[in-house]
Amino acid sequence: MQANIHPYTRIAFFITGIAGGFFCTSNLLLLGFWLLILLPLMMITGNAGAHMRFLLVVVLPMAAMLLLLSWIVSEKSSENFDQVLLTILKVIAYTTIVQVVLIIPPEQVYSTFRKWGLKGDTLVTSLGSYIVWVDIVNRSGKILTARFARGFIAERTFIAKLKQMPHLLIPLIVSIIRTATERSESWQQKQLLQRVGVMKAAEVSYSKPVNAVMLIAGMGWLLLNIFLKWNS
Amino acid sequence: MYFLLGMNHSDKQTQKTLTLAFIPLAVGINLGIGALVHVLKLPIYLDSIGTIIAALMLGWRAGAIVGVVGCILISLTIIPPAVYYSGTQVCIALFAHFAGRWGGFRSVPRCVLSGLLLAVIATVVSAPVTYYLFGGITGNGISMFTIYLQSVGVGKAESVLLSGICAELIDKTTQCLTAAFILKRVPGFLLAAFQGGSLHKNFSVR
Repeated sequence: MQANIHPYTRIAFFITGIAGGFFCTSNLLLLGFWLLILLPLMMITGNAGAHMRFLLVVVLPMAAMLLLLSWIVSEKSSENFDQVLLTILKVIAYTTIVQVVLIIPPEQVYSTFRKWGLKGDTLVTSLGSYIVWVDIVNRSGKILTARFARGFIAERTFIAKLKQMPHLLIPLIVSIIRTATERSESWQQKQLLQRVGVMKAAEVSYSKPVNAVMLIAGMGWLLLNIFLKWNS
Repeated sequence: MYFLLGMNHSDKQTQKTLTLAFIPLAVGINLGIGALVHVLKLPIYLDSIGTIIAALMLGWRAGAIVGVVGCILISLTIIPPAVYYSGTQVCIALFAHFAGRWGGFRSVPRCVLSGLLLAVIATVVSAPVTYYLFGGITGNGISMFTIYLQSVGVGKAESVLLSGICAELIDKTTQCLTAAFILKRVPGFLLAAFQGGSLHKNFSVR
């Protein structure tokens, strides 16, 4: 069972986490923060799988490239290696903080956004943006299928699909503009913009221990880094 | 503003709904192209085409929202540091809007000029984030050039600024040209509904 995080805790953790990371200059401390606080938080909130996939697909290649670059073109000193490692760890920490704060279960998105003070137009835009990735992928898939059916693509390999990018762009944007026009007409007819402000948010029970740990950990992380920076 | 444009309440409501429906989709343009460029490790970004298109179609506020929301989502999916460059996206939207009002996307030379000016602005806004928050290296293709410059004795701040401007000059010019190229190929009747931006000063809108 996953623990629910309160919207205010998300904001507080974001601010303290990022600010603490900004002051941090120790690789060990960053690694500890990620291993002891961030990773368990991702597990508790049920996002460990997504986080690991993200690390493997995005962060690991990026880290490998940075290390390789520093090894090839920079001085091969341990100080330089430490600096590159610090950058990688900071990117991992910052990203994980953003993931902890912004990966919101679908049933809590509306209530979280409302508690963050979003209403009316901003709320509609934010909710729409949360599903846009799926929308774009579906649309691109349809255009690619149509081009495949018409014989423009010989085989369905990754490289062949990549070569279709320039041809994909214009139909994609035309369809986006058309969809926006149709969607706006439909929203007006359904009076969605007026209704979204008065809709009731679903009741969510937030986990008190997890929220308390997040607040304490965030605050502790910030104070520890300020203290270390002050004394260095 | 709507009064000045000669629009009544119904037009205003239509524009508002259209803006709200278009913004998430424009975010998708930023996301799709930006992700592809990052995966290919190209030394450019191309993650602001949606921002420029939205600013031209709906004004700078819509462009800024597209840019910032795009940065947040791209951070969660494929480019971790992107969220910290949200300020750059706001500047891009502002510039695209005012350049559009001047007719900066009307012809290829004007697009190139707009791109060059935008590159300078984007570098000035992005470089401090890259330098102070990430120590000069963010893991994209441009980091390669930054590290190289540092290895040949150029200072860290200068390396970040120099590699930034080199990449931005190509990147922003390409983005301005691509945005104009795309909007020129969109049928005029589809663009006609979008009245908040500066389409009529740059493209033939029926």
